Amino acid sequence: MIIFDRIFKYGIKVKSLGVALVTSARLLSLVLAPLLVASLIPILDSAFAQEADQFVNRRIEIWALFYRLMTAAFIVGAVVQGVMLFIAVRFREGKVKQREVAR
Amino acid sequence: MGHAMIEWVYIGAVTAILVWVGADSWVAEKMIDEIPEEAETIKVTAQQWFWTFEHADGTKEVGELHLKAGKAYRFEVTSKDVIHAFNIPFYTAMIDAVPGRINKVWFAPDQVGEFLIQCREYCGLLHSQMRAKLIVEA
Repeated sequence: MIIFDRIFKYGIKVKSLGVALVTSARLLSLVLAPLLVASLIPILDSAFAQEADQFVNRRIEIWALFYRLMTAAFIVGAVVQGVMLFIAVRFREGKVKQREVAR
Repeated sequence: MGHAMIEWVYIGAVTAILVWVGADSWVAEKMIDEIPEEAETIKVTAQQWFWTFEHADGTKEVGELHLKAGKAYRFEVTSKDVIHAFNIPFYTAMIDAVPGRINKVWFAPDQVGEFLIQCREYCGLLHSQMRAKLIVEA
């Protein structure tokens, strides 16, 4: 917990982590930015591919979908794990403020 | 920002991602399932434990399938005995071969070479040997 305290004290502001570190809009945009990029890639891809191929290339489309869904799955995993870590640290018993609230 | 905000961020982000996943999959599946009108039909018959292919002109092949690159093919797949599954891993084509039913799948081979055709549904003792060769010519 000392490590966490130091990280939060000098790296990011622990006292106002939920308030001032990132606003909800910033956090959402951070989470959704990789998805935006992942969704743009196939659009650009197909725009270039139309000139070369007469037919839809199932192999490429299916694997591209697989990789996009894997990206989404990892982002969901990161969001879930990130929130769990945040809650565990933010509301830990060892935190003095929490102890005072408990009393 | 109260304590509920982190929960809303959590719910919002995960919901947005799952909606995007559903929409993206639906669009991709619709695009892939659409069989081109000019696709040539090939009748595929599965039986324990080999594959028979019949071209549009009536010529038949057993254990081998010759196709031309850059051309679209529609496969009408059925079975004579038990349930099999027609699978060409390289071209990500797979469909069940069910007795009394004709299932359709299509693809347009773009690379010349030899590729594996296999049964992907356990169909008995020699299931693992139920293979054929796809030969794509220029």
